[in-house]
Amino acid sequence: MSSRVEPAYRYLTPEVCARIEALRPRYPDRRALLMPALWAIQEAHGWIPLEAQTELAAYLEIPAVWVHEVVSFYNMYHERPVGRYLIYVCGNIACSLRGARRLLRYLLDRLGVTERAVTPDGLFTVERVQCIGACELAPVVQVNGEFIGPVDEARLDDLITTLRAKAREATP
Amino acid sequence: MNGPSEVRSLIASYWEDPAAASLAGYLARGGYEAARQALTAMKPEDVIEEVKRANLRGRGGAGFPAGLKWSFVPRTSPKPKYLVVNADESEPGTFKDKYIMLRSPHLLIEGAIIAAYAIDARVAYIYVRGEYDVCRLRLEEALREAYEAGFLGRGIFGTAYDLDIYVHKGAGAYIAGEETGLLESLEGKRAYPRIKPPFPATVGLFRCPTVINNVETLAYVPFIIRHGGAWFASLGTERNGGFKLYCVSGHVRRPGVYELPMGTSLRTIIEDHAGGVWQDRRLKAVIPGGSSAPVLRADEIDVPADFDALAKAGSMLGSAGIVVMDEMTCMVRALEVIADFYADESCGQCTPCREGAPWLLEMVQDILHGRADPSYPDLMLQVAQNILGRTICALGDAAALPVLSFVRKFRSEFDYHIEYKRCDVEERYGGVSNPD
Ligand SMILES: Cc1cc2nc3c(=O)[nH]c(=O)nc-3n(C[C@H](O)[C@H](O)[C@H](O)COP(=O)(O)O)c2cc1C
Ligand code: SF4
Ligand code: FES
Repeated sequence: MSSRVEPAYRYLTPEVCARIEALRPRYPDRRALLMPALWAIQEAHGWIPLEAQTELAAYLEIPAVWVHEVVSFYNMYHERPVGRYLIYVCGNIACSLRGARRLLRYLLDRLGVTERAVTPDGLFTVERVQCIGACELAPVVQVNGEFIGPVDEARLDDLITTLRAKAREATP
Repeated sequence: MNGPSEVRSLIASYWEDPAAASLAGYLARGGYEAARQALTAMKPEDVIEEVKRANLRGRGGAGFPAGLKWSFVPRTSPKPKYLVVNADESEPGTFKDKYIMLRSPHLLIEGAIIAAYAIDARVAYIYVRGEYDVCRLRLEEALREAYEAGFLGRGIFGTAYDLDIYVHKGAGAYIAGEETGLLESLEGKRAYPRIKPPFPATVGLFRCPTVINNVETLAYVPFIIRHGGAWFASLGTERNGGFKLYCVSGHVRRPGVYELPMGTSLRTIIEDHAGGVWQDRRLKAVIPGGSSAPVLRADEIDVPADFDALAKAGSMLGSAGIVVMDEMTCMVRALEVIADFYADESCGQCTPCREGAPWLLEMVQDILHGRADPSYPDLMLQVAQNILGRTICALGDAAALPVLSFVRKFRSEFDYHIEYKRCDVEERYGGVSNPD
């Protein structure tokens, strides 16, 4: 199998390939490796460019359309770059009963962006999502996987301030 | 009946003890004794009989008897058999499985071992929704502990039985929670639900016999093996054994998960456990089983929250996601939020669902934006009726049922919006209403 890890791969780095190979014994069929492999690519690169999809298809020896139809079907695979902090705002029933839609508008205004766009500093992407299974924290947001709620305008302000400070610390 | 005579909670009793999330803490509470007993002292058929006796109904939404489902797996099939754990938890209003995975992951793993043994599966997958990465990491850790202790892998408890359990991460699609959509997703495809029959018990994952169970369903299995099916059955109501994790959200004082005997009245759950309606307002409506379930009016909540009683009351227990709405809720807007969800999540395979769900959404939006004429409510009922039962999976019904119940039970609010192009609720409450 190692012969397939050609230097021509730009996104399937040796680390990504090692992660995929570690999972291979778990599935009787290589197509089933697709979702975990896409996660490995996204975790390494932040998103999944078309070129990475083509590389993955070649690597797994499956048609490229199998890869693309999966990437385009699932909301959490990013076909475009996202900000360093991806903020999911739940707009479903339990959250919207407690003001989530208003808070989404507030957050977008505050950051001066539209949904799914990246702020010019590269820090934030805001996306309204369906129920994320944290309705007891409604209205709830999720930042890079972490649930934060209940939020209101003040707590969202604090969140943005904290995240900006965190980013400054990480990149002096 | 050899179980404890007075119990206040089963799964949730583990949540009160932070140590119970680790293997050491779990073992201190008698952990993995049920799996040991099942694998060393019981035949797979005996395990299935015990679970049948327990009246354990599937907690994922449909309430199918777990023991019966396991018994459909053809024992003599030469193919590998699979257990798949549905940890997709995406029904709006539902958040119980998250607590099981975070605070008592070993209960799930032990239940999965027993279930896998009962159906002779040597591999099990736990499909965790992508948004639950915290749960996935916790499960991975617990699985590592279980492997190290010899509860997974080769020759478990010194028997000839081998089992591997793997976690598979979803990537954001409600329809991947539908069991055959989930199987497609596990196989690396779009989560398009399959036409049934054949059922997964005979043709499932990788075309092999497969049992799919919800996290909560499996987490109750160790209790059944430990204390007996009859004991478990006696905790609930007729045909609805045991306890149940109820998720309460919306306009209540204390949103959260409450574990109570199956069949506890909806009113008791909301008023006594979740603290009742917040801000001293009056109750208007309750969705008892996740957003797919028909809504109940405030005067309809004196009903035991089990699968049969709620069905009789014209709704369903579903995923037990109880969403509470106070008097300041505009039912037209609430329905818009729900209709938006189903239109968004339809996978598009069946015409009635793919076309009908967005039509329903557009009609509610037209009503809200003053673009509708008086024929709309009836038209909505008609469209919803024409989706019902005409689709591959139950998402079609899930898109239709809320519409039917909201329009029928709160018709005057729809008519008011259409006639006056204003919100009746907002006018009565000084310009404020929910959802906003
Ligand atoms: C549209 C749709 C979404 C579903 N989502 C979930 C889910 O997120 N979690 C779950 O356990 N069951 C879900 N189900 C139910 C599953 O199809 C299946 O009945 C369940 O996983 C079986 O396990 P159980 O018998 O233990 O309940 C869903 C069903 C439908 C129709
Ligand atoms: S009912 Fe809807 S979600 Fe289910 S298979 Fe048909 S189109 Fe897809
Ligand atoms: S409705 Fe927002 S997390 Fe469930």
